Amino acid sequence: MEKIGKILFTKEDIEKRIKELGEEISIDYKDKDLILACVLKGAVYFTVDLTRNIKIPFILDFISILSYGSSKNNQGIVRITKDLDINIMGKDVIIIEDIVDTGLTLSYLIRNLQTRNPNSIKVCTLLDCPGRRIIDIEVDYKGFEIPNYYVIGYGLDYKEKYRNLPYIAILEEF
Amino acid sequence: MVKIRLITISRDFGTDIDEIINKISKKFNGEILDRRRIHEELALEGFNIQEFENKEKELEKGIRDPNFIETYKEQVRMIVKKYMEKDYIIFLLGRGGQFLFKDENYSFHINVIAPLGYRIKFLTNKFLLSEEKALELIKEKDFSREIFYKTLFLNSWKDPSLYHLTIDRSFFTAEEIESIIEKVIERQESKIYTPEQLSLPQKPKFANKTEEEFAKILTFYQIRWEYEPRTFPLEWDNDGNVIESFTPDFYLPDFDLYIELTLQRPRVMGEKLKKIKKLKNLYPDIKIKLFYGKEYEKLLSKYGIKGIR
Repeated sequence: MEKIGKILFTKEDIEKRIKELGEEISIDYKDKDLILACVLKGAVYFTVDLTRNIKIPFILDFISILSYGSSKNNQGIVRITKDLDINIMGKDVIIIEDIVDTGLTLSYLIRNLQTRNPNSIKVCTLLDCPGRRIIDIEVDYKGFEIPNYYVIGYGLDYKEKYRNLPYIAILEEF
Repeated sequence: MVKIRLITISRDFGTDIDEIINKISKKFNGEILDRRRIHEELALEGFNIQEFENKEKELEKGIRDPNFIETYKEQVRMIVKKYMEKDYIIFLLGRGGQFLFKDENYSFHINVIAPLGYRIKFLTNKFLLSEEKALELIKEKDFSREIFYKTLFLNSWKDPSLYHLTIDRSFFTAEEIESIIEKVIERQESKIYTPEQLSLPQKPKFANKTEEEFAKILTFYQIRWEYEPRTFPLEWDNDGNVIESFTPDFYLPDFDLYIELTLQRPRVMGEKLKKIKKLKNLYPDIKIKLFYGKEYEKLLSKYGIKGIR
């Protein structure tokens, strides 16, 4: 069994930080061909709120990747289950993640998108958990840094539940 | 010791391979058996060739006549064996040789393919066809070929396990293809190599289940890894003998990164932590990450791996 534990970031904390990130991105990408690539499903809530705080034109697209352990059969290799609909060649891409921890998924995603010859690829994540990092990946825009906790809420799930919590909390298992 | 005596050639229409085979056959005093030669042999056996051809055309339309199918298979096998008795090396072009002699250790099965553009170009140059006509012909031949084999052998000629070698005609010159096939013929014996003989990568002997799971995760995310590839000396005696060393569990060459994993709790990890500290002092350029205890358990549980302590 599991339960919602300590709240790490309130709705207000999140709103405030996303507003700052939106402003930062709006300045950095002024006059650029910006594409926001939202990684499904966890980053949906974050992406939607972030886009409301970006004051420059951009294209929003979605991508989804099969993660290890998500299917009954763990054999095989990672693959994109929903690809971007648009061509990113020559564009400036920001990958939007809910959380960057091991860096394994993101490392694959960056390698994959780089083969499509974008002008640039950067990473924006709501949460960064460097303590769990296996592959060192540079996070360009981060909402909050967290210790090695399993967290839920604001898009982050536990067995597909808790995504709709307006805050981010530690998941407690017992 | 069994030498290769039969080479079957399955080929896309418009791959220009027959002339190459003809040249090789002459060089090795071989015998080419194609549709025409098979029919000639059947005529000698008293078959009505017109009737036989009609039945073959029915196969291309998907009409199954079990009696004819058995006769067809039996006769092709008999003709091939007849020539093999004469000590010829046989080149069987088409006719389903890859199915009929699939498990015969004296046979070698080659599939010759080519991109559509190559095939069109070949046909337009060789037969002075228009590109449209060439394409139409290729589509027609591919379709009837597919139906022919499905009707005759209940299988597709596209099954890669039917062949020892697939050659993309557009990738090699005629001379290179000749050389490849000649090397096959010149092999002293026909044999299947064991994985050890081929130096295929062996599964490492992981120290525990969690390491194996970790390797699976890396493989899943297409991250190259090596298991315990390097041992770092840490202490030497006065004679220069290594008396203490450390071997990290994994090395990720693309990231020039070593990884050490352990489920030990931090309080019993003193020895390992000391070693890693020494390693960092002696080899400051080496990047190493340590995942241990609860942190490592959390990492594994993220990927659905639990209870393997």
